[in-house]
Amino acid sequence: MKKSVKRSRLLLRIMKLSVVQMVLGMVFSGVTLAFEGRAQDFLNKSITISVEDTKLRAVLTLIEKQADVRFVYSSRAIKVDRKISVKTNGQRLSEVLFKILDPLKINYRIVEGQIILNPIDNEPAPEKEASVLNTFADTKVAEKVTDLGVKGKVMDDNGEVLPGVNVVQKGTQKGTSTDGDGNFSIEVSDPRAILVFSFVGYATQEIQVGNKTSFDITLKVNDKALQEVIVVGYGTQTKANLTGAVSSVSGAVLESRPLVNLAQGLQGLVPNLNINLNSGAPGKGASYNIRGNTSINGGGPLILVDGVQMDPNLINPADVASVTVLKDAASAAIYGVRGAYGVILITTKTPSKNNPLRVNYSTSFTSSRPTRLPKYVNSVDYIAMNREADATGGRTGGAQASNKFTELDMENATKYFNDPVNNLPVYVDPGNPSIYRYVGNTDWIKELYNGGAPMMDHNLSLSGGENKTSFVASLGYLDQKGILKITDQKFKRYNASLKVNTEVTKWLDLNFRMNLNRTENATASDRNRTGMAESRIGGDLRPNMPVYHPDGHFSGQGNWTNPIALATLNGRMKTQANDLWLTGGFILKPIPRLRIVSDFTWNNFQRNEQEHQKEYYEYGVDGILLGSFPWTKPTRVIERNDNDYYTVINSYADYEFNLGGKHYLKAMVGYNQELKQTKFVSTSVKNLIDPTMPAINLNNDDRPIVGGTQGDWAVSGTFFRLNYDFAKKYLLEVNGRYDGTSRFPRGNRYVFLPSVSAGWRISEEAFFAPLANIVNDLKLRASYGKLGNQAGDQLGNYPYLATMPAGTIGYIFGSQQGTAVSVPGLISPNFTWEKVTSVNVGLDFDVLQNRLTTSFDWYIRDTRDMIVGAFPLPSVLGTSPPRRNAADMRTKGWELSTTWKDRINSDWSYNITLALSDYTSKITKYDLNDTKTIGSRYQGETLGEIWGYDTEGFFKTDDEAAKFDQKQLWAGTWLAGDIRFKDLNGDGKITRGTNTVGDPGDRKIIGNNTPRYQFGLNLATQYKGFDFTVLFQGIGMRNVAVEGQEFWGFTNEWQIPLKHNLDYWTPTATEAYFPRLRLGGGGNFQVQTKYIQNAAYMRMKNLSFGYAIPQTLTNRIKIKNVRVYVTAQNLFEFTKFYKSQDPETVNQNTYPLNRSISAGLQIGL
Amino acid sequence: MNIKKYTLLFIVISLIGYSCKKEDFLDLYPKDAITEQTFFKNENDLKLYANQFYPLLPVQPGLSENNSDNFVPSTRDAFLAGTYVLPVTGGGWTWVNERNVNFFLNRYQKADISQVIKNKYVAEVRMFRAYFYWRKVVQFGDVPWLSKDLNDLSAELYAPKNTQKQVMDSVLTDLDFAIANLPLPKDAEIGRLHKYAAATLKSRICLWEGTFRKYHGTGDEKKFLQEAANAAEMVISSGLYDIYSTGSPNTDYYNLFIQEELSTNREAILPMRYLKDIVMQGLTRTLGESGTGFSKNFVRSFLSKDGLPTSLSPLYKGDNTIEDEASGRDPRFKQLIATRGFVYQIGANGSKDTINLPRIGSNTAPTGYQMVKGRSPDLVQWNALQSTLDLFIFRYAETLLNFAEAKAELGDADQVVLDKSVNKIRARVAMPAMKVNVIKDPTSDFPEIPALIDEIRRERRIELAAEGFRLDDLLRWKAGKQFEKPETILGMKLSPEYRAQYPASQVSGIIVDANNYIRIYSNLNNRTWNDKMYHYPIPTQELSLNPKLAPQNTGW
Repeated sequence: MKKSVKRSRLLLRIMKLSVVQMVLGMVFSGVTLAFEGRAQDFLNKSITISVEDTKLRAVLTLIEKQADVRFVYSSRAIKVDRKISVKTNGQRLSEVLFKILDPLKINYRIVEGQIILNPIDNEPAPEKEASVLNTFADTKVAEKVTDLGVKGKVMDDNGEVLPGVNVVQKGTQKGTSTDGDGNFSIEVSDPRAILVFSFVGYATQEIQVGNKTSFDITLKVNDKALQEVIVVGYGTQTKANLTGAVSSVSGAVLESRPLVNLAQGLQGLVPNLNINLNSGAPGKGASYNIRGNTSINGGGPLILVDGVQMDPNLINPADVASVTVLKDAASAAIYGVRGAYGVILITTKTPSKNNPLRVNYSTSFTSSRPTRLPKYVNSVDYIAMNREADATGGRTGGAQASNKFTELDMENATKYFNDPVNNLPVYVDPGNPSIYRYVGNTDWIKELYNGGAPMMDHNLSLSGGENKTSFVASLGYLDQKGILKITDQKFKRYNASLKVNTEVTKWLDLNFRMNLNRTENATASDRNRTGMAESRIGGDLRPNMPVYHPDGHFSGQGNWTNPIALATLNGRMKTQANDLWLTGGFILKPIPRLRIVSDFTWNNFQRNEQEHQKEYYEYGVDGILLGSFPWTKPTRVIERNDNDYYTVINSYADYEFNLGGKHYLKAMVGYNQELKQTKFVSTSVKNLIDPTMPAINLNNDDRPIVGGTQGDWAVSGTFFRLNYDFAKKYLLEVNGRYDGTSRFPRGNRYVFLPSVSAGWRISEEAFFAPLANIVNDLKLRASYGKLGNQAGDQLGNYPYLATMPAGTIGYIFGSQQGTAVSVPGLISPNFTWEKVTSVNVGLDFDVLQNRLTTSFDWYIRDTRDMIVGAFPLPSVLGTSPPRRNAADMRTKGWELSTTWKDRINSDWSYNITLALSDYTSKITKYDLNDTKTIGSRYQGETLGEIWGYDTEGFFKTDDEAAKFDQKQLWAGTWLAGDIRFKDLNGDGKITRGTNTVGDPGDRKIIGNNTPRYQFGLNLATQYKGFDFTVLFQGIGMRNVAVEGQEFWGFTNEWQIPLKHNLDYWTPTATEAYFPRLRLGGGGNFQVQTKYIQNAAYMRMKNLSFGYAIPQTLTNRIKIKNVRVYVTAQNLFEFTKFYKSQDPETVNQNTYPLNRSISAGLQIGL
Repeated sequence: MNIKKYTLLFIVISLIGYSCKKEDFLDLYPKDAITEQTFFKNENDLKLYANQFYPLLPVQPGLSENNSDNFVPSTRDAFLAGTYVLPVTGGGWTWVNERNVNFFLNRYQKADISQVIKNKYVAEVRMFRAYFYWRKVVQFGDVPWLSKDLNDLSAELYAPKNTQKQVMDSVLTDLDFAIANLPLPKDAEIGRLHKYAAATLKSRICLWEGTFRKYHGTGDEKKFLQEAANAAEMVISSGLYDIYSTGSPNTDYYNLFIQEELSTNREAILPMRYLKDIVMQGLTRTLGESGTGFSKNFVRSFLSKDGLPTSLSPLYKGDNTIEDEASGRDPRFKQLIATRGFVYQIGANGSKDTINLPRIGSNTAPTGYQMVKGRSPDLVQWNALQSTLDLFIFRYAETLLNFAEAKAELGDADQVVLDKSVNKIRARVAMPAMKVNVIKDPTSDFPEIPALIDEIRRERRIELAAEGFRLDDLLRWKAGKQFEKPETILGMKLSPEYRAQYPASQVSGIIVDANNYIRIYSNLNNRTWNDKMYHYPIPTQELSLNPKLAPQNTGW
């Protein structure tokens, strides 16, 4: 027991508090255990003394000689003339000190190689362990006083006074700040009180008041950036000692604004952590990528939350303490076959011991609108354009409308357009007296997205800790409505988490974690009409269709679908998911310096989706019943259930030791195994007893449809890591993992993956000393590593087994629907891992008292033996070619992260961070396409390249068009106003050639759609209680060949042109942007130079303005801190991309992203 | 201390234990899918595998004759418009079905059952193989014949084509095997292939090949014509099938195609059955919004009620109005085309929507000749994909027409042949029987062929209208020039007087030619036919991947 107490004193803790957190007075904090090398050094020295009744002063002198240390003390505070007896035989200094000083009630601290002695007035203060490093060096003698008023002066290293420094009594709301001369005074409750001095850019310092009344405090410039502890795979590492390409973000950056999911908060902060928000639909997740193109099979980073693979879209951003991105192979190697494309480690807030109970509450309210929406033409333009395009088709052998508009349609539509009050948007179809023809003028986008959508969130957290046991508990609630208002979408997310740590004995800690992520989503059913639930509504938005018939029924007859009727009259789709995580673990410290960490995680994911499809009726002229809307008939309820189980065992041990002072070695070995089992069941019944009640049991269906799937995968790996550093200057890390997966057969499933990285801290070299004042830190890093990639998600769970699909067919045998088993795909028997090798070179430097911090990395990532499925083989094969390890790719890139932070004066500080990155990829080997057929991969291909024609202009006359041969593009008659392409190969006609790189006809590479120079620029400033942050994010260079209706308009007769399509060629508008109107475009809709879009953009992602009410005010109502803020997201963007589409999603048919404004409140008790 | 040491020891041992290869832990196999290794073991497996091909059977398609001279769709058929572009990939050159049948034929022997039972399923699969390869031949002419499923290393990937004759000989062998080994209808489950379904398909395929050889002059046509006649005769002499008739010549033909249940109908050799909520179709609805109609050329080919062509019949009143045109004609006229008085739809409340003037002017019938074969007036059938009316896969009338044509081409068609084939069909609609010495129609589309063959072709065109045969027929007869006739892209006559009966705005957009026939394609007087269109081209990428496929089909 005694021994344990001693060790606990020696365990030096480093409090990780980011600057922003301190300034905001926020109380969430991450505390991480670590050993501190230098202090350990001399405390480990062995001491042999044997004295009887000797004065303490003499004993200390003896120790000073043996251990080469110096004791510093006040002879009035420390009664050094007391006589003591002590006998030691090679025991460590730490133990000896304890033996001597503890009975005398003397405490010691180590500051820069000196051991400072202080008396303990009473029982040891509970905070005695905290932040021993950052103490004062005052050795003056102070009279013991009973007065508890304390005053003093705060200065910096150079003796300049520091005004505005926060002075708070730890654990209370008592606080003040220094005046213009750096002076402060504060009343403390008792001598054990600890004062905390904090100031932007300086290391926070804590001192125990003791019996002193006056203090001269010197705050040191914060070099915490270097001491910051970064979470890495199975452990932590100080930033100074990192050798791989690792970036990390503190959870504090996520706290100042309302976030729908974590990805939204991370976007733009970490260079080459590329986040695609995919869509703005409530509850929709984002996708992550690290360092660009992975395999041509896709694949993304491994994302771990507290060490287990969890969907980052489900967690509450407010619970996140830090996010670490492991970018190169060397730092990800410990994760083996799933870390090939980087790892994202998300750490949630951890309990810390000896903290008073803290309660934090935050809330925000948001209103959203879509960023960009398409603008469609009005009915008169639409009908005119459709007729013109149809006529051109008829004249030239091109596509014509099967559903033609007539002269009468045009006439009536014009009447209605000009005078909607006195005309009807319908008239009776002369061809069918029971249905209407539509001649209205509806702006469907306006009807569908009518108004802003609200969102609110509430987060409540409690944390605290006694001597042995500590906990963090949090509750989060998010309620979001969809901006596609017509679907009345409601999304809710609930997060509950509890973490408890307890120190059972000095050598055993137990910990427990519980997380529940629950989501609920309710929206309009979209069975058979895709687009309603997940994305915007694309088709059937013909402007001539009114929303309602004159008699009040919804419009929509036969092949006209009214999306508003569908959203309103069809049933609802309700989804709920529960994601429950339970983790139990222990940390065992059986002998000094050895730690065994082990935990077991169990996860159950359950998802239920209930879809109610409702039959509803369509009405024709004067409300005559036409029958049911066919696509939601019969009324039906579908229940879909997922039930997945996932278990993880993580176990590792680490041990560290010094050899002769300058050699430091740390070894870690561990084991990881994971098993995931998924099961999906669906049931669909019709003939509902009450069609309005979506109850699966209330049916009279003798043929319910039941379906389902099952699957599982497992991995098992053993890993190790060795860290070595010599004199803090030369750093070396070796990682390795022996990994196996269930996705390959025996004999092929295990692989050993080694990696190595090294660092040179140039700034620690003697020769660098002259520059030390300017350059605080300079480090060169290099790493090399090889990882396997099991290419799991792309190939399924059992890619080496040929399975034969089974299911029902559209054919009746007897009176039963037939079932059939069909052919399996071709499987190549010997395919194996993709191998990913990455080389990384990095440079970190901090200059000008850490004002400018920069990190630069350059990398090459080779993906070898990529598993290729689609390559050209003669079609007589009759199936897809089997997968083979047949392609290599090289990705080169770099990333830069640089921060400038400074103070203008004591009240006003600011910082600017730029994250900038780039990558390009080339196919370096591709055996399977010797002919270099375009459209398949080929050796030498740059990923993202766009092949297209060179636009010469429009044909000026029909005659010119007739004489020029573009028949291979389109065999109808080309006319004036159609596009003339450039005859690049000079053969007098426009062709595709043999569709190979060698003979592409008249095509060439006209652009590249890889997003280049992705950047994030974050500006933040604080002035007194005010804070202001603005984040710009964007892409510096990108080409997109937009195809499809959203750009061209009439890709077929059913599509509706957009307003930009009005700029089309006519004999009188020969300078128009678009060619003459044709359904399907004739041959005009080729990928070509003229219509390539520039998708570069800079978007204001986030702008927030906050105000923290001064503590002097809030303290009066016993509230620790209060901050109010307003935030805007996606407020505006700069881009040359065409107007109907968002340059970030680059797909009109996704649910639009949101522009939103929020107001929020944060309270700490 | 001891406890600590033991705990440590335990942990270390556990760690080492974990570190071993955990092969058992990683051995996971599919739990929701059948693997190839364990399949083809019993009769049920063979049956389940064969089932996958049934949905590929050629169902009477309703509208697929837009690519022929029978119909004029408002959107021009791309192939006939000459706008078909030599494709890089695709273009019909896909071999999935061909592989899938061979996959079976190379593995079925694994099953532990008698050869007789095996042969039943082999027969089914070989019949499908015959059908798939025949379609390849129709589209491309010479094609590779594969008798096994290939993998990515197979040499056959780079093999040259087989000649059409070689392929068709193999097709014939498959068909004969199927006929020999398939059960009689009474022994087959409803919906499954049987002997006479195979024989019907054989008559269709052999007639196609025999006449193709004859008219394209490649020789050796006799054998296939004889096989066609034999196969058809086998079906006829089974005595199982008959022409559906209730003695109502003015409605029987129309009613035949809106039957709820064809499995008990003697005209159905193999029906495609649709049952509520199991498998349903959408033909009625599709036909209501078809955007196509019969061509003038088709409508002119109806005989008059006296059995004479319009050029010879005194009953023909001319075509100034569609009412005139329909009067005194083959009763199938009014059963194929919506004319005045036709009940188009019966509403939910029993109200009838009856045709008055042809519904031109919107997407219902651009030519004025709105096709109603297979279209039910029942509102229930009109719901999209909710119709339960059965369709034909093999119809006895086709067998009879195959028989008559094969016999006539062989020169063996006597009155007996006609009476047991085409005249059975004519009897249903009370048309006079066809005589061996029929008079040649002076305005025939095929002036150069004998009158009897010409009339059998006419009967085939009318009886099998909209069942998907017409393009195949014209191609095997080498009658591509037929497409150049202006009448094949014209509609009914819309004289100023007739036009005046419509609201002006409805027909204001409709243009007519000099003789007042509706023109569907405003700038096109007639199509042009290029002989290269007898075959589709092989996609260019296939030729570069396997140069032995050369030469490209003629003209491409």
